[in-house]
Amino acid sequence: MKALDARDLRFAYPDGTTALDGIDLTIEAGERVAILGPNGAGKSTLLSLLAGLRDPAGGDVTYFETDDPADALRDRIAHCPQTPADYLFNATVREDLEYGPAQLDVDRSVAQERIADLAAEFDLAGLIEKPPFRLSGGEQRRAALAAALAVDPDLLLLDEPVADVDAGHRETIVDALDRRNEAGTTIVVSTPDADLVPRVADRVVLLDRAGSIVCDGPVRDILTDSDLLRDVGVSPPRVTDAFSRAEVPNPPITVEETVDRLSDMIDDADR
Amino acid sequence: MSRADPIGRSAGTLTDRSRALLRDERVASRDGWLQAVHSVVKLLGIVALIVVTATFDTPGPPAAVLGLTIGLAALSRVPLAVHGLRTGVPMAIALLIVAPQALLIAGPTLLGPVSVPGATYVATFALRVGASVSLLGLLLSTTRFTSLLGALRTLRVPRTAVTLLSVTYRYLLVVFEELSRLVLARRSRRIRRATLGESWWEAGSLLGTFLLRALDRGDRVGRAARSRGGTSGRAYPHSQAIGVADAAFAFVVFGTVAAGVLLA
Repeated sequence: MKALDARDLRFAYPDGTTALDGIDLTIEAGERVAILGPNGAGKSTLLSLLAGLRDPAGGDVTYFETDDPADALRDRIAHCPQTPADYLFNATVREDLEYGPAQLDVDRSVAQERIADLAAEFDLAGLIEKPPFRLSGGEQRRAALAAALAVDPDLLLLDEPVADVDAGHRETIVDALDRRNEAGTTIVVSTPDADLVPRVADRVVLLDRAGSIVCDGPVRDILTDSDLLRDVGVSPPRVTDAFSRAEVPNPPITVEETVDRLSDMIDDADR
Repeated sequence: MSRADPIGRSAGTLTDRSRALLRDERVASRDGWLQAVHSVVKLLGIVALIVVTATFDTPGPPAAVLGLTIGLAALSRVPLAVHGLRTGVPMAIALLIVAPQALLIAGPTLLGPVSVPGATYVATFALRVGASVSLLGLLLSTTRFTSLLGALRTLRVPRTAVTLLSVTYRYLLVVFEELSRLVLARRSRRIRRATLGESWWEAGSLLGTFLLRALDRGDRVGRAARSRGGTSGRAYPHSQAIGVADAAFAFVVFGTVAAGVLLA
């Protein structure tokens, strides 16, 4: 089933600058997709259009193969914006986690149980009664993600979900997304960071600064094409870049693959 | 911040105070008498006391209600100095506004040009304002905002009004947060002390930028709320059951209202 189907999406800013130009994008249920592009490529705008939070200048988006608009499907679609402070507007973190379920009339006991689980999963237990503006950037990010997940969505649209987050909690977030995806949640992540992509996606949609899709395909095919990435203004993953510069064929795209590859190379050298 | 930077100082103080007022629910979380009273009972009781206070035209009863609120504040562990300031300032402003009536209302002389009915009117007016503000202050400081919204909904206050209140509260929070960021950014980029003239010159630019940023931020927060199901103002009530504290508060309210009716 298609979780999302966007046809000929176009968007221009009020000053007339084209942000997105004829985007066609179909995402199947259960997919993990990264929207990769340089700053100013329109990733955040695309994500908010896909979430039905902006009106496009042209084109349309359908969800779950229905004619229902996004506003009728807020219990199935969650969008977490680039700036978590925009997402956290209640008096305490707890009230922010409760906000979505309360608006969608989720039974209170169900919501409480879900919020307790999310607080534990995202290491928010000690922050739950604090005002969100007292949290650090990384803590706000975790709280915003937990708030987005509090409605238990089928489609999760995340704008730079690990920006400002420390290394330990970055793993916490990536693991949490993995668990949701294994349970069937469709995940769309926008990021300018190619190093993050293999951790959160199987498919990449590469945007250029003109707001067009340059290519769309499996993660490995796109991340190992360093020239293509550089052309659109994205740095390839650091490990991939290092192996490419050394002219090693089929370079790795993650640290884990690099470790395996180096072990093999050391073993070969020993033999 | 330098003393010669009135814009930064004023904006900073306004921001800090407003955010503290809007977001500080520490008093509402304390283990006090009014905090234990159900939000619906408390709202009805406070409204009844305000109505009774407003009906008297002698200073005695409003003064008694004002005294009662101070007692309630103490029993509810509300910081008396802060509560006194929040009550005293509007009371002083009211006093200032109606003070000429002490001279203008004719009647037996109390002191110099001040007449007895004039002085009575001024004192009654100021005490009514003080008692009402004190009661409202007690309600707001001892009740979580979400519980207050829940109480309004339980009392069948029109949904539009509750939503408007909820949205205003949330937008005020983010608007003051935006102002705080702007003030901080301005402070971090100031290399030398601004003169008074420079500060005033910058005020226009600061205000314009603030308004634009507040609009932009409001737009983004609106989208965030929409993505989470809207801004209906629905919230889970904090679990409360009717108990001894409610009965005691109801007794105090009924006693005060009854005494007021008898005195009237």
